[in-house]
Amino acid sequence: MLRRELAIVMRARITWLAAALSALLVGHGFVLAIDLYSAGSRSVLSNTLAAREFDPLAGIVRPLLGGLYLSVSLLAPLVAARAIAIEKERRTFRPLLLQTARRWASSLRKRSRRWSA
Amino acid sequence: MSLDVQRLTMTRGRRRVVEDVSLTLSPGEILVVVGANGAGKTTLLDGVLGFVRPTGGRITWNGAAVRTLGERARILSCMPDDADPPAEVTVEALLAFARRFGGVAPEVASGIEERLGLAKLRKARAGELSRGERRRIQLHAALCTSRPVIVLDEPLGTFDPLQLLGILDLLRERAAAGASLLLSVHQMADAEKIASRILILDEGRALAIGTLDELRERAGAPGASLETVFLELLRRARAAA
Repeated sequence: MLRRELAIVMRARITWLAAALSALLVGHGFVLAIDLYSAGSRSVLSNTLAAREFDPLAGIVRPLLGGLYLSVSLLAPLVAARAIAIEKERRTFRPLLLQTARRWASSLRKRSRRWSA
Repeated sequence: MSLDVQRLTMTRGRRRVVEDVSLTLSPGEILVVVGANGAGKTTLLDGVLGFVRPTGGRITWNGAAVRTLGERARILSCMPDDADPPAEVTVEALLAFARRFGGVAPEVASGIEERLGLAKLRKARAGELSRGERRRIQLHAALCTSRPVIVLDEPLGTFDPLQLLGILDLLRERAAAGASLLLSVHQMADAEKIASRILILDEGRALAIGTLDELRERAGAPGASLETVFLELLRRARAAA
């Protein structure tokens, strides 16, 4: 299933456009975070307490992860919508549901049994 | 183990496309639906598959009502007439997908692949294939299944005579293995070759259902072809209306 949908997604221009925009967004966020962190680190050098609290995880990694999170939030609906639209356009969406529903239903049943046990 | 369709009625917009159609499908049986364009063949199959919601009637499997997608997915496998595999996906991925969700033994799946001549197309993408090749992939997905009922909408339309013989044999083998096949077929000669029973639809209503001999008897045309029987029954129905 994943292989099939990935093939649809990877050959779509919109996926690469969204990925490029996301890369720009995350890259710009990273550069800004580095810039801010280096500017801040110069000013806290004189203050021991502030220097101890000045953490690269909070200053660089967290904003970067925030940017990634935002990008995935924007990219994922575009990618999923494209795959569903293609399956609908080719009229394979409903047969696909029929083909896969049994397996998903049985796996859901197994999981719910495991959780309830 | 049988699929019962009782008094199925379906509408598209305000138009009643299928009206009070009933049929029973037993294991090993090949029931072919024939009719003129617009007779309601595809809509009837869509109703059985749950792609179009019936406005009346009931579908049961072994006496239990079949209503939800999950219930249908346990018993039905299908090939719609107008579906095309996504052009971006390779044949190999499509075959693997069908095998994974079909739940048949690997040797059965490989046998069907071989019979449909799909092994040599493995590396190609669906978009690079001819219409006939794409239909064979769709047919593979429908036949590569352990589900007891296989619904095929116009499965014979795009094949040359040699391929057609192979595909008819394959369908007969699936039926002999215990599957029930519900087919819509446009060409009467093809329907005659494969059907164990035939349902004739006209303007959404079932004109007749039975074996070819039963239909011949009903039309008063012993030894006649299905086409002659169909035209005779249609003429009578239109004259009576």
